[in-house]
Amino acid sequence: MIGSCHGLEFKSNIISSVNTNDGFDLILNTHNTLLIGDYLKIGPYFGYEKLHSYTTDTAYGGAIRLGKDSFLEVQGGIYEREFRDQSSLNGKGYVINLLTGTKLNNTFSLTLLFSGKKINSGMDPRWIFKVLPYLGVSLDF
Amino acid sequence: MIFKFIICLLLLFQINAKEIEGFFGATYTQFDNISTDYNEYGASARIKYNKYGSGGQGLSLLAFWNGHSIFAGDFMAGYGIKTSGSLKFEAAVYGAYSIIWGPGIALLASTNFDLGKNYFLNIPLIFRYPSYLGVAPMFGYRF
Repeated sequence: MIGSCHGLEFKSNIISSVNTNDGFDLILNTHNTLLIGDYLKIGPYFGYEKLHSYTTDTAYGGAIRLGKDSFLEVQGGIYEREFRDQSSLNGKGYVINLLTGTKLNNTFSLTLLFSGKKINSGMDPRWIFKVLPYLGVSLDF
Repeated sequence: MIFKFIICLLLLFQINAKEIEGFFGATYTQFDNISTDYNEYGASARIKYNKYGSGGQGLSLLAFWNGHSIFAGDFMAGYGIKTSGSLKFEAAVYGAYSIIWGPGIALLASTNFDLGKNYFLNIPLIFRYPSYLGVAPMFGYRF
C-alpha cells in the first residue's frame, strides 16, 4: 500500500586523500533516490561513483524500499563505466544493488550497500562486486 | 600562539566517553574471458578507538589497512583530546608504524557530527610524516 510519505534521499560515501607521493585523489560515491510511498516505497535511482581520477561509474534506474526505520532496498538499472587516460573506454552493462539500512534520526541513516555491476560491452566483460557503508541524508516532503 | 589558543579552547569543553569508530570497504572483479589469475580483489578498513577520561583526554588508537595485506597496515597509538557538545572537535598526536612507510608521527584534527544519541560521523584530517595527508571519514559509536 503506497501512502503519502515521499522522500528524497542522498546516500554518499566520500574518501579523499592527498598523497604526498601521488598527488591528490578524491573518491566519491553517491546513490540518490526519490522514493514515493510509506512502508513500501518506489522511485527512480541515480548513482555516480568517481572511483579514482581515471574512472567514473554512472547508473540510472529504479529502486524499491521495504520498511521505514529499518529498511531493505533494491536498486537496479543501466550502468556505464568511463575510463579516461591517454585513451578513452566506455563500458556498458547493468547494475543491481542491495541495501540494508537503519535510520539514526529523521535526517540521517546508515546504509550498507552490496553492489553487483556487469559490463557487457565496451570493455572486457566482467562482474564487479562491492561492499561499502554509506551515510544517508533524507529530505521528506 | 594560534596553537596555544586552540589547545585552550579544547580544554574548555571536553567529552568523557569510550568511542569506537570505523569504516571498511571491499571489492572483487571477475573477468569473463580472461584467466582467473587476473581477477582483482581488495579490502580496506580503518578503525579508531578512543578512551577519553573525565577530562576529555586520553588514549587514542588508530589503524589503517589499505588492502595490501592484514600485516601491511598503518598502526598508530597516541594521545587525544575532544570537546563536548553536538559538534565536537578533536585533536590527537600519534606514534605510527607501518611495514610500508616505516616509523613516523601523525597529527589528527577532526570534526564530529552527532547523527543520533550515540552515533556520530567523524571527519578527520590526518597528517602522517612520512608520508601522507588525508581525510578519512569514519562512523562512530559512543558508549
